[in-house]
Amino acid sequence: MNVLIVDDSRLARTELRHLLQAFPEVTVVGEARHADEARTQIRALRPDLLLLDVQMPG
Amino acid sequence: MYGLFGGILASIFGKFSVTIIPIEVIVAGTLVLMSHLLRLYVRRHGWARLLPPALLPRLFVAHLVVAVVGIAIIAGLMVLWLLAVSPPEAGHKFPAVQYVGYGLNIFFVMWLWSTIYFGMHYLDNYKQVEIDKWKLTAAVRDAEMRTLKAQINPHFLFNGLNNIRALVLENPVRARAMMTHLSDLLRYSLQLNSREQVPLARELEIVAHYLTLESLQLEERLHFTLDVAPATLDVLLPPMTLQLLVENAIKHGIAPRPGGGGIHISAQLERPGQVLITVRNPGRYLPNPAAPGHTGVGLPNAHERLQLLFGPTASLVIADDARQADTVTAELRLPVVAAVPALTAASA
Repeated sequence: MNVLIVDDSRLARTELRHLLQAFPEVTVVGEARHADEARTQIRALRPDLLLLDVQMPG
Repeated sequence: MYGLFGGILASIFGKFSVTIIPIEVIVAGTLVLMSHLLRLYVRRHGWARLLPPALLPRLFVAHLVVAVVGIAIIAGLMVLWLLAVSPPEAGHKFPAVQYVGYGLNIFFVMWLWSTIYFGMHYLDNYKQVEIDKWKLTAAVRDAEMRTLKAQINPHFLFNGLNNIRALVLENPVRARAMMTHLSDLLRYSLQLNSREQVPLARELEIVAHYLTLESLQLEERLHFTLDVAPATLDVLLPPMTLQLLVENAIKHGIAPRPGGGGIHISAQLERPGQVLITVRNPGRYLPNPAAPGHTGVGLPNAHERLQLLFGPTASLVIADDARQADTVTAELRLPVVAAVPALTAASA
């Protein structure tokens, strides 16, 4: 399963990536820092799952 | 009510004879008139606020005056009435002792009247003082509760802990330092209640902890400058007030911007006796935005605490900066000499 992490905090993204390592079936295909980046990444990477922060800039 | 005493008096005297009734009407009418005049005088001169040692001599003199004037009126009216009603008994005379008796009567009735009048006023005042005391206590409790609620933003705490968890792997030394910042910040916010005041120097330490923790979350998107005049470091303020302004600056000014921005904190002596603390951040001021996570209790609470502690000598104004476009400025004005009159008294 391809996952895209969307969070403005770098450490939060790092932590999520770390936590997801425990699941072999999950592949983190990319990271986005805000909604605009996420839109581009979604079009480019076609992830199966989005991990979205609640409050983000933009 | 005042007429009642005259009426009672009249009924006591009424048993003497039927012909004396008009006389007693005169007496009662005079008493009603005099007690009303006395009430007007008492009200105009605020006697209801006097304490018994100051009030009693005044009442004594006032009652004497009322009694003398009262007999003069009664005697005058009675002579007129006797002349009009019973000219054949022109020789009829009231003995002088009877007038003294009327005078004494008036004097005592006035004392009775005053006792009831002032007694009611004292009772009223006493109840009002009690009510005010409880209201103030309740207001302080309420402010404390809301302060506690507003102080530790759970979202901030949650972000901080999660960031530190990631940092533990990446940079354990920095992670430990961040834990220290977080624990100092928590201790500060838990130890203090809404009544206390802290020197600006202490509040700035906390703001530094706060900014360091926020820069963990925002990284290069947040930068800040501090410009604090040494003379302002001792000024007292309610704890977490400047922290709240900085928190709002980040929440509304920096965090929503993909590129972030800078916060500028300055504290200067605006004029002798008054310190001006400003917090500037990029953005536009939107009072009460329907933004997610906006609780709307922080600023009203800060206003209330400033008002309770300093009255009109302190102020907090947040607005778009007039000199700088796309900038919001929070201006906090504080008196250098801090006084806590009402609240220390009500702390029990």
